[in-house]
Amino acid sequence: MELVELSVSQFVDSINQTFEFAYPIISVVGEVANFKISKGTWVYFDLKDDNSSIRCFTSVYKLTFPVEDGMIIKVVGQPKLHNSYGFSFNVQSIQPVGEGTIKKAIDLLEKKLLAEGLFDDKRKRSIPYPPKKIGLITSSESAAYADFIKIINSRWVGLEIVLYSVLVQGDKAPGEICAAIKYFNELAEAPEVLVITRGGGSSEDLWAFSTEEVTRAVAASRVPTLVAIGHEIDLSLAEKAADKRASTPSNAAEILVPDKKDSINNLVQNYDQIQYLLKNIFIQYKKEISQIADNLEKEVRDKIQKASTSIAGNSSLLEALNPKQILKRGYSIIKLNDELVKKSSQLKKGSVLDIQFYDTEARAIINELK
Amino acid sequence: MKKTASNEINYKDLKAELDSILISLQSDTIDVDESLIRYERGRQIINLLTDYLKNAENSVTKINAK
Repeated sequence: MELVELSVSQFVDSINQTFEFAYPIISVVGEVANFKISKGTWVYFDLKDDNSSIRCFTSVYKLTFPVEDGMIIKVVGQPKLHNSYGFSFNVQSIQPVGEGTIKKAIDLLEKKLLAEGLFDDKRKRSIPYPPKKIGLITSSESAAYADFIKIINSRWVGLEIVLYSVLVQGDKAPGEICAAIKYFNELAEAPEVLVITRGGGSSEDLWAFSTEEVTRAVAASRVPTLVAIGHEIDLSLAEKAADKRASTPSNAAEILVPDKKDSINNLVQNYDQIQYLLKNIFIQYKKEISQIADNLEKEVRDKIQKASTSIAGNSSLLEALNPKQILKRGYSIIKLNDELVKKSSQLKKGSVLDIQFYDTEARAIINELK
Repeated sequence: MKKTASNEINYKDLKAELDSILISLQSDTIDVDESLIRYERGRQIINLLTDYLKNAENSVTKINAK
């Protein structure tokens, strides 16, 4: 067998071609050692296990969380043989592995974002209740999607739900979730709320919702956000950055809209109330009219009473002036030929006088004038 | 699927109008004629909203991640 003789560059190219063929892309899990950032841009670290260690290289833009020595991480990328610096693993994406590392990564990232004010309560906006248009970001294949739709359909109507189906775990999940948030934010007729949801899972399953890119995208969303991740223990950073959080996808639906059964019951009560109010208004007006009628009647009665009193007074006076009343006191009326005799010169001997007493009349003849 | 009534009914606006009618009917200053007009409008809104809540449905459209 003839030995192949290559130049160093040809050898490096040949090795890289072999790598590309054998490992176009591969993920490797190990513990971080000698982590350092050069010139604020280039990232170098070793990835090791009990027996081996490889040199890794990437840029700060690929870091989705603060990395420290001792963390167990999964890197995705390609092996390369550099023509000057030797072997390295070119990292395209990094994920923390194991509960301890994930918790540490989340704690470090949380501290950093907290200092930037991403989780401040004053940033939280209210969500229209109920919204008309909802942007839903989840996996269309997930139980979370089915639960959300089931509950929201049972509770409310007339909603326009736009589902942007994304991966909710794995390397591609953060990118897809951010793309979905961007899509809804750029719509001319944006939804009134973005619901970002998935069911529960392990720390690694839920990692996408604590990555820096997703947390920042949630915090920066122009459309108010509701993040619902079904788990019980620690909140994801996306939930902390959201305007509102819910404990599960079903809970998100419950928070977003009222229950139509309650609303229908309220409308029935409103119907009774409106009848009652109108009845009350009429009763009130009836009372007022009745009061006016009473006042009118009283006024007329008073006037009649006043007139009666006045007439009675006149009657007494008239009675007092009645000549017959004077006759009662012993006076008489004397007439001569139907004329009242007021002086003696009207009389002569033999005149026949008509005398009217109180109770009778008499006729008399003058015998003598004195 | 039944027709979605979301474009025909603005629930929030009509509910707000109904609430305002209920408040005005409790006012001491409303006159009889106006109260009758508001009562009729209130009943109309209650019927519209009840019908909407009983018959309208939600619409779901799906977009896949690229």
